[in-house]
Amino acid sequence: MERMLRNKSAIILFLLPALLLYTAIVFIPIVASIYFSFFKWDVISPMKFIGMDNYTRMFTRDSVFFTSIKNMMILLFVSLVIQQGLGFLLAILITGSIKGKEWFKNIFFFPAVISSVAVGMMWSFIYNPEIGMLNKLLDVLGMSSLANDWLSQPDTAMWAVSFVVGWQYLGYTMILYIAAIQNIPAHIFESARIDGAVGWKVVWHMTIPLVQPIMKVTTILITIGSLKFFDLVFVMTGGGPANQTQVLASYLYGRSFRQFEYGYGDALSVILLLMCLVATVLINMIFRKSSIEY
Amino acid sequence: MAKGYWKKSIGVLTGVLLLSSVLAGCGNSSESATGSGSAGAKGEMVIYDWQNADSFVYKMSEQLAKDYNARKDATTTMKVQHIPGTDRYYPKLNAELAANAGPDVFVSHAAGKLKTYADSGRIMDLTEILNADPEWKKSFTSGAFNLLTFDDKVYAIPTAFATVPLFYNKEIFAKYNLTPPTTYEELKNVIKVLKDNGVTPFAFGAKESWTSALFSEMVANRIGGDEPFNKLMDGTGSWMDPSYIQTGNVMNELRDMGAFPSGFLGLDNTAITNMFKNGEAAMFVMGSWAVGSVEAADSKVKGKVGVAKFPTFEGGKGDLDTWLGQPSYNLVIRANTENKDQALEYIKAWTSNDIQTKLAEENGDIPAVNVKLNKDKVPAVAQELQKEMSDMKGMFIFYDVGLGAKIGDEYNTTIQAILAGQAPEEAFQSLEQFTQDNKE
Repeated sequence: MERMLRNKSAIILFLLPALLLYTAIVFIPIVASIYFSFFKWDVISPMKFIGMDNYTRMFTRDSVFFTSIKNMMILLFVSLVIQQGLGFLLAILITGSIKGKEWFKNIFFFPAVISSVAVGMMWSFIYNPEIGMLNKLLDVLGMSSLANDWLSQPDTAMWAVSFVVGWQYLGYTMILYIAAIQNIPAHIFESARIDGAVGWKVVWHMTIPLVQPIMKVTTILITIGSLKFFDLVFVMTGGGPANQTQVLASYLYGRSFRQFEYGYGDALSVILLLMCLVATVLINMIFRKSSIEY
Repeated sequence: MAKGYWKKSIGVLTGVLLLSSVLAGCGNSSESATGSGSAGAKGEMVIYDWQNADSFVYKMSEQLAKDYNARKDATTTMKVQHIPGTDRYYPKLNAELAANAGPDVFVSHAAGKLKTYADSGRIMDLTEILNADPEWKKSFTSGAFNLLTFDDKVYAIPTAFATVPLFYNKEIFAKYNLTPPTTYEELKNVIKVLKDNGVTPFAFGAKESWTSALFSEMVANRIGGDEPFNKLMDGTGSWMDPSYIQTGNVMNELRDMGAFPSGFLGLDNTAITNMFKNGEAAMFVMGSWAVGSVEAADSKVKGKVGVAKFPTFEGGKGDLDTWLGQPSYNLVIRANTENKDQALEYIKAWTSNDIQTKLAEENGDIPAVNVKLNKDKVPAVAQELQKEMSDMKGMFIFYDVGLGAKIGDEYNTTIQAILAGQAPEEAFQSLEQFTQDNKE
């Protein structure tokens, strides 16, 4: 077996199916998108080459493009705070000595396995200004002045959606941290305790440095996930009111499939691709020292 | 070292993989279309429409196909595919047409939307066919083909018309001694009385941008007359025309005086139709397709709905008898279909006396051909609407239909943005910029 795997042609043979699939459904569409982004094209009329015009339009004349970028940053910020902060905290608590660990683990992970459409519908009801739970709750608490039309007010809509995204994927990040913490050999904590580290000191000086590789992975996952986010925005607001909750993915969908500007949509998707690549490289640089030896 | 390298690569790879879902959805659109639903093989004839399963037209088209398939001399199998919601309908249709496949017959909006298909040679020129059957051609109401003709060639057959009246709840109006307003001043007065009595004046929403745009198009026409929009249609006009800025201001004024329900930015077409249907609002500016809903058996306002013309503005150039409307349901034949005869047969069935009468009497539609209707059967609202329309002096078309998906939809979003707080000057400035960018 070992010898066979050293054979170059065997390696190629094993890699080929995955490589072909990957080329067909990822690489070719990416190249095609880049190509189409230089055209004005509505699919049914002839294509018209317009050079960099889609890109200049995006950066000089399209205010919705900048709204989308701003919204992606809001989404990224909220997701990082909720998922990294709260996710890590929950992981610490659940790996600690509390009762009903499994139960809590499942409860917190549950939203991540529900379909996004269901999550979106549920929260749309919660946020509903007339029949929604949130406004009713504020009412009961005597804070009805805070009641709002959460998803249709331009200044609250994006934050409301971002919160749900954080809520949905919180458990996912938590599970990764739990796995990482449980991977740390017990004797390390033991010797730390002998050295006099207790409570949050252990967390700060031992756990955080030791889960750093996972921290990097989750940061990349959250960042890329936020940048390319689509489903909950689409379900909950559809990018409205008046494009105020548009993110790049939903915006390019609308341009391509509602307004039939496929060339422009492709140009937007190329920018999205670049943003994700840049973000990944940046995060890799920040977490450069990442291999941990126990 | 090697270990670190791998970790890094895996990180990048994860990113690219995750991203692929977005890009694949985009780049693949043309490829994915090829195989599906193409007609012609084994004598199947495919028809596309955008009907919901509970609509009258849905049932009718199913019945037509069933009747045809049951015939002994049927040479093909007719199959109707329903793709409800134009947001899903047009992308699917376009993708298939792009692959030179797709339905033999499909439904299209008029004017700008239709013109894209005509210009790219995707649909059949029906002029000869119409001329070859003078009886058929003569049966249509006058001007029926106006918005379906480009360069003197007819590309679509209308089956129904739609116009936008001001629906009002007669019961509420009687209760507060109100009469339907004919001027903006009267309208503001009506709104004030209704507000003082805690009644929502308009069933109005802007979650779907077209519902609020439709209202604003009435306002714009009453203020600026036909000229500003006609000029935009022929490419010489500008959105910076003062009548458009004023339209934005009027929308804001109505919003600020409470003419629209609270949270209207979150209400879609279904929500506002239900609002009016349940008697929760006094007025409703909507296309005549809503007649079927407000007259349905479960409607609380059944028999209590009145129809009025949209009020005029002082100093405005628009006439009270100019209507917003269009041939709303038009059938076209794909250019390279192999089932031309059967396609024609299907279309002619739609415009037959029998079906047109049914559409008018049972669904309250405005028929596309001249039919003799039984007055007792046509819904009262539809009759009232036809009476109001009998003085019609002119007609203009829905902006998103006339200007096509790009600029038309951008107009819809512009109105939505103004209602959400953007200054009208600024909003129309960016619409003007967008229009310039998208000129052919």
